[in-house]
Amino acid sequence: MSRISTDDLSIGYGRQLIVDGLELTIPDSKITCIIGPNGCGKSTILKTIARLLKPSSGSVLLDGKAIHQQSTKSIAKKIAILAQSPHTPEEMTVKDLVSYGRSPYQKGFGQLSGKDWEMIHWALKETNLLEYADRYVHALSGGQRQRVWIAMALAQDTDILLLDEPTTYLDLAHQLDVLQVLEKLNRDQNKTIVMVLHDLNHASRFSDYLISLRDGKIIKAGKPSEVMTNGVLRDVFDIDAQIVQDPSTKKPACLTYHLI
Amino acid sequence: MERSKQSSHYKDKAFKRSTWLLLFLICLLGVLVMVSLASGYMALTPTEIWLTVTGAGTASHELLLYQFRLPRIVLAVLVGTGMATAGAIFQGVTQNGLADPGIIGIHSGSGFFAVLYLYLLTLNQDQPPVWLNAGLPFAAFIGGISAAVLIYVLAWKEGVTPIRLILVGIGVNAGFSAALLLVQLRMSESDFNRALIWLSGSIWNASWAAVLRLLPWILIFIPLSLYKARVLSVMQLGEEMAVGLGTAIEKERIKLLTIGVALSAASVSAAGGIAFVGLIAPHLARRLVGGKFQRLIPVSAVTGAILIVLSDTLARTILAPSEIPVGLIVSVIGAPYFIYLLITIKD
Amino acid sequence: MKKLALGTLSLTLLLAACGNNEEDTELDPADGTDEATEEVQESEGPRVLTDGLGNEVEIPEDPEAVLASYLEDYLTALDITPVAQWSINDGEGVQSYLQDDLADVQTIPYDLPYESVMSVEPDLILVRDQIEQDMVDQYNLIAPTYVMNASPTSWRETMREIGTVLDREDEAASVIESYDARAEETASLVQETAEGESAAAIWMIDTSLFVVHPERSSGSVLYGDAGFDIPDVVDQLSDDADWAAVSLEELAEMDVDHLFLISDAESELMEDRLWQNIPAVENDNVYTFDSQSAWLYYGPIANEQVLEHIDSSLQQ
Repeated sequence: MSRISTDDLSIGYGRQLIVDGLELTIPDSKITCIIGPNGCGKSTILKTIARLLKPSSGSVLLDGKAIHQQSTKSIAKKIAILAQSPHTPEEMTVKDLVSYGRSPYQKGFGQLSGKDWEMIHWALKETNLLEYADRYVHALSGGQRQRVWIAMALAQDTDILLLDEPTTYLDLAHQLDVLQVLEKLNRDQNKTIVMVLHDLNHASRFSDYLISLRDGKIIKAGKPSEVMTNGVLRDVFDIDAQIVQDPSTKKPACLTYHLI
Repeated sequence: MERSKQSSHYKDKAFKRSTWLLLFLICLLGVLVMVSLASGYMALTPTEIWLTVTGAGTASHELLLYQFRLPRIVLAVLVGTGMATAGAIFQGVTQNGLADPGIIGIHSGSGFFAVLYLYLLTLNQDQPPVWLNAGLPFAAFIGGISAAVLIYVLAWKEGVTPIRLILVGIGVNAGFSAALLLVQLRMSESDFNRALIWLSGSIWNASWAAVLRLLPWILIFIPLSLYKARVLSVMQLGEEMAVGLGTAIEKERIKLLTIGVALSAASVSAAGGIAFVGLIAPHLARRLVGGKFQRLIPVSAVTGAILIVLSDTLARTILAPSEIPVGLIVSVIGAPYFIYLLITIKD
Repeated sequence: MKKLALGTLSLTLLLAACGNNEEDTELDPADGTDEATEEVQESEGPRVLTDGLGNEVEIPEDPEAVLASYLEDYLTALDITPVAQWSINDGEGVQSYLQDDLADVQTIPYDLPYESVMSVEPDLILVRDQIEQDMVDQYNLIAPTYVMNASPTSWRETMREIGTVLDREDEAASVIESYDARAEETASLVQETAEGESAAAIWMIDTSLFVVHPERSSGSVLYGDAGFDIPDVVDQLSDDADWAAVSLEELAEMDVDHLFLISDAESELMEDRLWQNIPAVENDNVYTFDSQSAWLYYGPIANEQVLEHIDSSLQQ
């Protein structure tokens, strides 16, 4: 029994349905990537799973209960979210921002407890940010900033982490850096990670489970070796791709592709 | 073991710094209060003040300090605290550094309702009811809420850009100010003079009674805003992140705006529409302790108090014995600052 | 029961008054209140009057330092020198027409800041306009504060009330009496020289014109006392202001025979053909006074000066 699944989920803006009757199961303690062309509903589905959007019908189930009927605070103790372009407040230190991850646990006037500080410290260490703790967030590089957001999500101490295109706007080295941090978290902490990624090879390399979408429908979900095939990519992206096995990771990789 | 040691080191650093700063500001406020107590049309030597404070002064000095200067200073502190905190809340909720209740029309909405209330209740009545003044903050509160709703309806379209909010706010401000003038023109001359307070902002006729009317509002809503400070902090990350961190955003937004309007309306009912306090104080506080509202709110509250006490001291000494409305002095400092922010704002 | 309560109240007040006196003696040794007068006070009891806000105000015996901002005219008429006089612009602007009597009296800002009031050490404060109870409470800490019942627009009522408050009712009555006698003289002069003719007082500020209300300020003198006819337009214009704005066209329509012009400078309006055609202008019956003169004020002294102005104008 998996902790997150959807049941006949339909999502739309106004009358137009973007997703219709989606049945999806997210495997626990794995890295799951959602891929698909622009406008296929990747982010919409992720946001609905994160209860940021309300479904038109059907439901997202978290631990067997419809997520939109649970209190937003109790969900925040189970699921952490990193939105696509979170707003970085000015004049805010790394430590302060990461401390916001403790919000779901805070009561009263919000004084941070010893346990809170331990979690913050741990999150900073996991993301290699200890030396930046007192720097201002907006003075950091894009990659470092993204790690700060991940640290905040870690401080939230949830089993599940949802990320909407966490590598967009980053250069190659920083993309890899962020994904490796996530991989380590999955391995060491058994965290369930669900993210939307654009780069097929990254998705293939870092995930245990791939969901390919087109027009709000699942074309194929499964291990990377099952999804990263010429046939699936043709159906999802309208491309003719040549798939090889990455000799170092033993994962499939898309070598070249052409328009059909 | 090493981990907890290191983490407590962290905690201390940020906590210590802002605590010391807050203490320093409170001391500065204390010094200003002393200076303010000593300054005025009637000259008092430090010795005379000391004697009076220790209970050995003359009756007339006691009267001067305890019945005239002190209530005025206390009122200045309360009004500054209220307006600055309201400003911080409005800036936080709208995520707009220019959102000062005095600029976007909350003050003039409150002022309009306060004057309308006075006008209607004293109309054709020889004896106004005894609860007349006590009801004033409530009338102002209703006015502030009306202004807030009006701004929300006119400006909010899936969030609001800073400039749009300011433009709509200035429009609402102008509308209420015009309505205020219209009511004032229908008033008798003496009532008109009284109502002028709501246009210019003044605390010269402060008394302990006025302090007591404002105090409960400050005592209730300042702690409430401190209680809600962490929600405000989280809101700064954007709506999605705030929800992700467990914030019931729509509910919290309404609660926070209600607290902000209550603070600004109660302050306006005591001192009239003093603009720019709610702008300057939170900005300075942000510079000093960063954008975390748990620290920002106390620091801007004290900064606001400092600003009003300082302005009021100037207001009654520059042209003594004549007095300048304190709102005018604040505007002299505040307007250029506002223009500076307007020029540098990122849309 | 009520009587008993009142009795207790006055007893308390009495005790409070004694206490105050003792304090006063400490405060101000120069005051020199001796035992004898205190005994007299005890036997008569203090006078308590109900003021315009409905407060019971205990009026001190023979107040020496009376503060009555914008009521100085009435005090002067009773030969009382106020402890300070009304002023605007940091003491620059005072009631010029009273300065023969008030030249040595210090000024106080018109809005009566508490500290200024305290510094002149009044022992009775008279307030002309209805103000907030809060402020009265504060002034009361300095000295008993009495808010006028009489409408500021009725100088006779005001005069009588001030007479009552200051325990000079007879003097106040004779001020009104001798004023009325003085007004008779002007009335008969008007009857002799300008029988059935109309007049208006016009206040000119740059190019703005205002006409006096027929029953207020110098209007009450001009029509009520001197007996000039009221032009129709004046009657129609006047509402709730002492001076109502009037256009040059309306002024021309008035067909007014005598024009009392309150103005400090020549105005371009006077070049206008409409102005030139006003009967008063054509017949050279325009009499100019400056804006510091008594025409804009209230009170027996102001009114008497207005009467003199009318006399001298007609005798030109």
